[in-house]
Amino acid sequence: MTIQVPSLQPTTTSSVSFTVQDWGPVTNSDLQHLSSQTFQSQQQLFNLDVDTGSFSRDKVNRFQFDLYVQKSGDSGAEHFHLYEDPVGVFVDYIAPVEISIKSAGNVDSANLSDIPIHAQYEGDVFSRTGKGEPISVELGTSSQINIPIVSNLTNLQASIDAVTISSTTCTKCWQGQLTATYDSTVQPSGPSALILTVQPNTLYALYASAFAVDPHKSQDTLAVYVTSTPGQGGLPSLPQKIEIPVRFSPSFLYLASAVILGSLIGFGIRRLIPATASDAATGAASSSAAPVTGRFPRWARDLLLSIATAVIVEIFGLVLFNNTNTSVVFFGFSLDPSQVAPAFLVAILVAGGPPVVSKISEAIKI
Amino acid sequence: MQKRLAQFFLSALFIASAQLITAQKTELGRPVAIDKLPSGSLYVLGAQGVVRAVDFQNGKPAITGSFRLPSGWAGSDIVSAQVSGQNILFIAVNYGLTGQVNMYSTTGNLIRSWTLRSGVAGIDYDAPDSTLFVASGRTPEIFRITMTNGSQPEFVAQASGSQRLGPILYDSNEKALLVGDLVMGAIYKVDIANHKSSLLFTGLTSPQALKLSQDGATLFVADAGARSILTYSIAQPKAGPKVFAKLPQFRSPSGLAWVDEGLAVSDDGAKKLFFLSKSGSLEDMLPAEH
Repeated sequence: MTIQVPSLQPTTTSSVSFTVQDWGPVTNSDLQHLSSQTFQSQQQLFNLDVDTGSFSRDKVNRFQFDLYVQKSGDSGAEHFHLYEDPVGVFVDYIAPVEISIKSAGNVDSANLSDIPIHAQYEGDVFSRTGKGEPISVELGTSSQINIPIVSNLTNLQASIDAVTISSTTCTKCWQGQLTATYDSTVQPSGPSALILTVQPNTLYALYASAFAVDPHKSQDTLAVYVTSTPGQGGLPSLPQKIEIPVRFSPSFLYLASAVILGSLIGFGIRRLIPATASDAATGAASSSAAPVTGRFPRWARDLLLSIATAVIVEIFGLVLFNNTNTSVVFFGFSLDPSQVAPAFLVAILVAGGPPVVSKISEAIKI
Repeated sequence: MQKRLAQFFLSALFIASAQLITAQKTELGRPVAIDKLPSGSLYVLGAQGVVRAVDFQNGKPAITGSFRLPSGWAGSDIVSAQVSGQNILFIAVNYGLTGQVNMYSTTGNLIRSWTLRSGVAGIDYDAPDSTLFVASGRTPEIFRITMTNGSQPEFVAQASGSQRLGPILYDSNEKALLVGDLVMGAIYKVDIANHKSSLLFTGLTSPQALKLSQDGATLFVADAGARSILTYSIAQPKAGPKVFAKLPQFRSPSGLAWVDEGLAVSDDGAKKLFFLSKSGSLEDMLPAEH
């Protein structure tokens, strides 16, 4: 008895051929111990048993399985051993495999459904779902990032063996070990999630965020490497890289500190800038028209007014940014008001008022 | 009545556990390679990464010890050797696409390891030069690893024309390597000095293991596809193979080792060890057939 198994073509650039070895006859009692799937040839001349318990790897890591072919009415069967020889990159899948059988002048064919077809070079087992927008990570605390993923194996389970995480642009922006928790088994085409536990290193993260003020750009990118194994005899994959762009979001305390500090600096600069003739005239007129009243001296009232204005502008900017994703534009630069550096800058300019703004404008023109 | 029932269950439990222990002691898993130290146990490497020691007790082979490699490692080949006066085992495994050769003590303590990015198909040890030779898993390359501090796999030669390397054997008489090709069903000879390879023997189906006779004149090949042990004369490469043993119990002979005067054969498909006489007849099996 001989069998032939034609090659499969999982994709246009990949193929899987089969090597068949005849391991000789076995008795019916041998067949009874198998965990097998049974098929019948098209002309019903042969019964075929695929031993699903034999799905495994040989000593050079080829996928192999056993097939038993029994001529109808015969006792015992012929034991065949099949190896898969994949070429190219594709994602493992379950496929029907057509075989032709020849025995003593009889020729028949059979369709073995549900045979796992395994790649040597696995394609991406998982895809990240959702938008690829930067994920916000709060400063000053440990937080969890939920990364939804979906399995690309349409009819095979996948098991996640290991997940490692590293920073690609700012290693010092993170404290301790970046870890992930996950369900180790992912159903065919099923959704899953990687939950990353991260804690930013505040000082370094603030420094990194100071120079990446564009609200649409990431301040660091986490590289998440997922090692997985497709079910039913798949090879452990090389680590698949999933990139997670992140932006550091400071807590209320950091923002408030930045606004107050910026207000103080802006106010201080304004006081230091010598008054122009028109400013002096305006100031003299206003001071003569409105006498100083109340508990606070004029400079203190001006300071409080500057801080209050900066706080209001920051809150307004935050409300606009969070609800409409509108960024604050200063001197043609798009700034994210939820970041420390832009909040600090806005506070300086608002508290400094026109004298500081005009000074900075002049400086930038130079 | 209750006492009798308790006695019955206790004795049933005792019999069941005794049977389980016996099964564990004789269970070989899927042996993919074997090797034996001249004065030591026969070591059997299982496909799932379990290493078992087999010794003769009262003239019968029995498993006398075992240790397990890390989970997910698929066993490929095993070679025993004496390094610095210590009995050690070189164990080749594959994890995914990556191969690894590990040096273990005979009790299972990891001593050193080397990584091979293109996998590993077979290993053999040249004791006089303290060098381990490695056949690559997915490329036709052969590497050597010297037993010096900080050594890394070094490229030796390429078996030109080979499609998928399998077992490798160091021939100390010829100062050459013999390498099997699993797809071509052939044996290549690789000259170590000039790094050149040539086709030596053909006519095989799927050579899984190679062993030279004590005098180095005859090459024994475990051919899984032919389900037999074949021999070639090194002096007459064109003479073709002779059948040394073709037992009906053979399924997929995977490993060869000399045990006293006879040849031990591991069989991945039959999940057994066969002990053959020097004429090729069956003398014993593990597990024994009932």
